[in-house]
Amino acid sequence: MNSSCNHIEPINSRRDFLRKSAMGLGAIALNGLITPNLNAQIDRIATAKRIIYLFQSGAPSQMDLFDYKPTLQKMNGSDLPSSVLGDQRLTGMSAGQSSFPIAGSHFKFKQHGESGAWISDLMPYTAQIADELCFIKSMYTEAINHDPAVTFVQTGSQFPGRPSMGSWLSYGLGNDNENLPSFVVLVTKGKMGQPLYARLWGNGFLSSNHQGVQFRAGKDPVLYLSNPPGIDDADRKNQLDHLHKLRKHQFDQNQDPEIEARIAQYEMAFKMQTSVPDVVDVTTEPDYIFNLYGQDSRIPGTFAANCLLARRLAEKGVKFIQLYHQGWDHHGGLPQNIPNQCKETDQASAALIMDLKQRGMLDDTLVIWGGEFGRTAYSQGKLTATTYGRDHHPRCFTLWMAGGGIKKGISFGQTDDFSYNIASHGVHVHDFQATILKLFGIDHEQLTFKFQGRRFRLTDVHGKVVREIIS
Amino acid sequence: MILLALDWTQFFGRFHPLIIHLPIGIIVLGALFYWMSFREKWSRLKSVIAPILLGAAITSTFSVVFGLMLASDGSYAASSLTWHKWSGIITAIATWGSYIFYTAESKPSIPFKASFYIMLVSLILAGHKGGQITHGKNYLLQYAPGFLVTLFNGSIEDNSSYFIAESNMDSTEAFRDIIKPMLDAKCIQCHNPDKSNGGLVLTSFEAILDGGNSGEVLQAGDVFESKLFARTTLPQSSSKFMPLEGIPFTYKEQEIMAWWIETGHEEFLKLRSVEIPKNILVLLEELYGYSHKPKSFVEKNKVSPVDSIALAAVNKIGFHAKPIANNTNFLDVVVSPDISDITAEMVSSLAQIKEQVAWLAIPKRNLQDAMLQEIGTFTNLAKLKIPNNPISDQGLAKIKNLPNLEVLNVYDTKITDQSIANLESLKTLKNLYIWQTAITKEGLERLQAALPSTEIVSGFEFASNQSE
Repeated sequence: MNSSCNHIEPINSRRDFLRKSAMGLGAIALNGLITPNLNAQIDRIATAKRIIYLFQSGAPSQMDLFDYKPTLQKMNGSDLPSSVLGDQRLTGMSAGQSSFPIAGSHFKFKQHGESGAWISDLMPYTAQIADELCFIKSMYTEAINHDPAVTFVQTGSQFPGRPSMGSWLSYGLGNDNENLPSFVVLVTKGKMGQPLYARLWGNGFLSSNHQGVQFRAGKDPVLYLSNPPGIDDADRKNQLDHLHKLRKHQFDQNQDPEIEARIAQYEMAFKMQTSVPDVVDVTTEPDYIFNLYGQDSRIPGTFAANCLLARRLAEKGVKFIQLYHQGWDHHGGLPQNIPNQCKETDQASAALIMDLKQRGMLDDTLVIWGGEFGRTAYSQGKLTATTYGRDHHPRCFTLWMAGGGIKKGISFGQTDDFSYNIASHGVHVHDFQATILKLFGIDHEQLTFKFQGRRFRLTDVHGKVVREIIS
Repeated sequence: MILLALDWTQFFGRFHPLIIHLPIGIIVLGALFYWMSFREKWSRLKSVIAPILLGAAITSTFSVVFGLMLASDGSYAASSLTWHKWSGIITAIATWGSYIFYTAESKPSIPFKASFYIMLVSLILAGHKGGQITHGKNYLLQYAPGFLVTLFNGSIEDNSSYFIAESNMDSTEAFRDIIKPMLDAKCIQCHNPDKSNGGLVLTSFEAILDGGNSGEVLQAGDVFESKLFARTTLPQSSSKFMPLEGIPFTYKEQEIMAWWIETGHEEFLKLRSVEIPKNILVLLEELYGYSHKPKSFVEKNKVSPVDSIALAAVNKIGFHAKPIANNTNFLDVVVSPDISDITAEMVSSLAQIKEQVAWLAIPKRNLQDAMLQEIGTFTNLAKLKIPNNPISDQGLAKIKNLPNLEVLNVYDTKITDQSIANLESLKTLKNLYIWQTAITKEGLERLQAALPSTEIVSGFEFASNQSE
């Protein structure tokens, strides 16, 4: 019997029924007892149980934050040597420039902590926790524009339509808290910049109950979650039960798995009616916690408030918590604009690490801070004494990780003296994804889903685990 | 004459595993037809039972003869053959008996029935014992559910993964922990005391030194003269390539084997005592997860599989208990989000699987001192996360004897400096979380002095509050 392209396998003969029940029952009985809803093989003892991904959308400038290059400051204004520039692809925004003047960072760098990590003055709080972090300075990607690059980091493909990392983990590892979605998305409110789309946390071809659920800032984090006036929980439950029966009836007829996914999502929504108001209610948080995350954390929708919320979700067992903070796309006026971006993210990011740590959660919570690519060593547009801009640069960028079994207090990989090319230990986006899955005990080559005749992976046919950064 | 020079005994002997399947099939068919023929509808089958039994008798005789030929070269130990050999011979005799008595009488007689059932029982026994010789003793039940294993009382040795018994390189021995597991996985199926192909036994260091029929297999410092290495690195098409079946030695395993032989193939070579080349270190880490840091309790220990019924009960009463990974039976247990207050009953239910519980998290569930009494007996606990609970010094005293505890999270509990002596007794602790407890700064210093290698986390504040 052929299954249709939608994985619909109607049971239409006695033979099918017998075959399915004979092969299925034993497996169901065993699996139900031992490994509930796992699609992933846990080959290695997982060091990470959940992940908080602080995505810095727009691409922060690595050489103004973490990748210290005194050569750039020394050679400020002179042309980037063509041996460094090579014949790399540039964006249409700067490819036509008559010169590529080197722009040294305007910000001072110091070494911090016992690990001696170089961090610029823009990140005073992150600097204080440098010994908890693992900087990867040799990240590189293939995309040169925001949309494909963000899509690539999140889904392993530059083309839209593949499942997001959080969906893969939800599919592979199931849900630790059946009252909350396993994949939650928080976007900083009111930021301008490169657009974000729901497909970045979409389920792709995986069942739709694996998609990310975006929580909004403010009173109603999930819209239409509260019952309308005059309807109480019992009524709602009764209503859903009847709906469930109807859907079951439909499912029995055509076996469309999307119906089951829909049933699961209605169940989830009902549970979220009580679980979500509880988890987003930060009024119980003491003052010293708000002080730790910074005063922004009192204002719903800020990055700091989202960091605090992320910690609360992590405590409840949400597996993948994805934050987005837009506004890092500094093509011009970088020295004027980047300080504010840092101010919005620095303290809260560092506070999140330390708050997780003091609660004993950092050992199994992976935190990642980084963007979709890097920025150029040369100035886009005119370089003046007071300002410069930087164009998109996929060939190298820096991100940091902490907790979840990542080595702490190290820097991995190196760029050349211009932070333009990778000098050693390049980490491709697929390598980064393979490493994340490894921390969850999953072999990235084994977590697959068959769709349209092919088995898909998060890392496609690539990816090498970066063992050197795993503790 | 070339034909005379051939070893005809072995030539025919090797047909034993092939031909053996004929009598098995034919005897089963004969038995089936015999029982079916009792029914009126199938009574005409009676006429074919005699020829079937004759066929079974002839083929089983050939099987026995070929089997004896195969055994004659001595590569199978007599002890493991006894049962197989004699049950096979009895099967053949009983098959002949069945045939003769069936044709002699018009109705099934007592002598027929006796030889018929002896034939069936001895067939099963011979088949099973033969399978054990070919595939190894553990083959049949290796992947059987736990209760089946206990039923047959065969404790199954797990050779499937390289799991290192010792914690770190300091106590690791090259042969015991690295070379032997490799041989166990790939060689000993044919090179064991019961079935020593080529006269070579690879189950112990002494036996390896003894070598095989063609002499020693190890030459210290010379890998290509060492057959143990050379035979595994031949072209795979070569008839001398080892192992004959299964997955050959990987490049990494060959490299490590070569390194061991080159350094002199000592039995008790401690990894820490020699300078290991960097490429070998990398392989050791990749293959065995070796690193310079010690392994965790769960990685270096093993436990029997959990009783699935008790596990189901635990999951039903309000825990999420699941295996930590595929290659371990230890469980990660987290209290269900639907439980707001844990009960003594829940803890007792958990006690049924306490041997397997290595990680346990019961945060913010009103866990009382009294319940820790039971948890204090979970000797395989490596991680215990019980923050935000009304636990006092009396409660903590109940878990002070947990022998393998590596992570203890008791932040936001009521423990005070009085618990310090008890915490000090947890010598295996790597991480301790005591933020928001009444433990004082002085107490913390004392504790850190007593547990110098434990990371104690007692809260965090930024150095200078630079916020607006």
